[in-house]
Amino acid sequence: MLQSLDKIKKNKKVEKAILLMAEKGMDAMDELYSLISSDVYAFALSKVGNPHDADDIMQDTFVQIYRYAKRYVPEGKPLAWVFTIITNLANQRFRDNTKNDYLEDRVVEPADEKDFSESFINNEFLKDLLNTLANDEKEIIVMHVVSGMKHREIADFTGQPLSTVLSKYNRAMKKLQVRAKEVE
Amino acid sequence: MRKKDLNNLINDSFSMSTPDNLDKIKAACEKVEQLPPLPEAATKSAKRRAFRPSLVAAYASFAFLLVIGFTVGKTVYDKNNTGVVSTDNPNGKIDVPSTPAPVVTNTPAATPTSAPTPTETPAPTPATTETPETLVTSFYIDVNPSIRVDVADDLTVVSYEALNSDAAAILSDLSLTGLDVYDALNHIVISLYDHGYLQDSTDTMLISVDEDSIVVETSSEGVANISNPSVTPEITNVPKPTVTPTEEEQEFKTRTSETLLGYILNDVNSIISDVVPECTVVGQTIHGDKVKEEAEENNVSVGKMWFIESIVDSSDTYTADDYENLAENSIKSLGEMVINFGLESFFNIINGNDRNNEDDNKENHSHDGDDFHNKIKEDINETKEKIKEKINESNEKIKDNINNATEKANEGANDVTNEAIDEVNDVTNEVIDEVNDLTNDVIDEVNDVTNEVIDGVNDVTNEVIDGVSDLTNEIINGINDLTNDIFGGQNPAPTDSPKGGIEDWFSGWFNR
Repeated sequence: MLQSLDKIKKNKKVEKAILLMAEKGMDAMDELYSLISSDVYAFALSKVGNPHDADDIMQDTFVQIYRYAKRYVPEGKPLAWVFTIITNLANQRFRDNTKNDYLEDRVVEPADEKDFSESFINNEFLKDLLNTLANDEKEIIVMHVVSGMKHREIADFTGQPLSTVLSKYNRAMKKLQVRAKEVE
Repeated sequence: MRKKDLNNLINDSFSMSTPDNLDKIKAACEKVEQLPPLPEAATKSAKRRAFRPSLVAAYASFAFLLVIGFTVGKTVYDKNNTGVVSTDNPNGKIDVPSTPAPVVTNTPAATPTSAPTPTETPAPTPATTETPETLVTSFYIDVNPSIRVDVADDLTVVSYEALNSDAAAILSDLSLTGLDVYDALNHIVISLYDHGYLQDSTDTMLISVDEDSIVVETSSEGVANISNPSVTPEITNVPKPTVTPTEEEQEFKTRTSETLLGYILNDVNSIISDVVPECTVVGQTIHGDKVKEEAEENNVSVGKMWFIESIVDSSDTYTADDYENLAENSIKSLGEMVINFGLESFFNIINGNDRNNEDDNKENHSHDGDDFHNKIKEDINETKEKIKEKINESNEKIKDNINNATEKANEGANDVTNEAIDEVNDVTNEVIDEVNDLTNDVIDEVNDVTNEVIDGVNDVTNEVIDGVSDLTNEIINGINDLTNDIFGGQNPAPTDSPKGGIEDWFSGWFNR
């Protein structure tokens, strides 16, 4: 995603909304929700891989943001903070849902490649995206394209080298370009 | 499908699929309570940032200010001991006030009640109290459009300029001041792309960091331009120190330029990967006046001129005589030339193939993270150590100088204080006398007026009393007369008296 001015300003707006939530509680919820609901859902979906769980995680995420707003330390990276909450919730959910040893070994890889053709997702392209990309590719695409995070920030957040993030991003975009051409 | 359209498609897909959970969330939030903020100590570690270029710049700037302090201190020392400025100064003698004003400006002002004594002399400090605030460095972007961008030590854009008409078109709709350099570069790259540049693998972008541009801005009005002796810090009345880049300073400038270049190349590479992963980026640090003169002669940008000179230096094909011919080539052609001649190893160059090769990318981005941070820290420490040696040498001299100057100032201050006290006493006595005289006059005047008023009141009172007495007597007499007329003895009332009148009336009535 070419980073527009809106994306640059978004971080500041989100941070402001979280700080307002710390001060005024629920009064700031509408503003925050309108700013990041897509980001939260998209990242949750990329994490857990199905719309049902993503929906639940989305709700839990906003509750957690509300709960911990006063503990948020403004560092200019509010989305990274939100994504950390989502990651924790996704891991927690996966642990809760997995009852056998086989699955317990895969906590770090919560969502596997799944076929979304039968899911609740109506958007064909989104189905393609979720089916085509690997989990970390999905996350990088969401963070960069949907949330406007810089590659450098994504590298910091995921703990991967910048060059790895860049190649994964480029690889994912090429895959999506191919799929988009096929659909056309 | 263009990348832009694909991005829009991804955004729209997620946006349309996002469920509306706001009411549910609000209901859930009402069941929980917000946690109180953590104590400050617990948040400190969270506030720590991974790496702040400003910190590096601040260290370096401080080190430089110490060097300036040393130079200034030395100059003042020489002045105080010989009456002329150090012969190191090519300007020769410089008129300075005979009092050692420059170094005693930090001495507390003398007051009549507590004149400073030598024992109260503050701890010796460098001759300037100015603190470094920002380090500004310029870099040039050349594609064909040529742009200069000035960045501060926190990597935000301080100013920018289009250096040719093509660049003016690129920048026409952009407002970059205050933006993070990454965001600014992003806008520039996108604008270049939108204007038809950076379209394919043969396109080349040239990034040139100007070592000579490094400027330490200070908190006061002065600007300490380390590399330019004509611009010096405004430090009270201190003679203009002649600052020529020392070895340490030059090393620092080189390191800072390379650091900035590394940052910019990382950013540009990251951005280019989004837009045109195939195109080539060349990074270079430039310095010296010669290249600027030649750039002007050949009517090209400084970055391009340096690039041309580098090509000539690294190639057996060209000589300095070819500058003019080479200057007619576009940056794109020069970039192609470098690749075709196999000169890549002479340049800090990243092309599309490198970018697509993950291992190479790792190498390119090796400046990231802790390694980079540690390297810079080592560099700064090294510079500081070198400068520290010089500071130590001069410290004693500065200390003595300050003490001497302070003593002189104290002596002067004591004389001034005593004179001031005498003066104040004289004036005070005069004022007191004047006030006493005036007070006595006023008292006399008041007494006079009071006496006059009292006399007047007494006169009036007596007159009133006399008048009242007379009137009372008259009334009493009148009443007595009347009483005698009505009730007094058996004396018949006069015929014209009321009594006679009444008797006459009754008589007349009954006799009828």
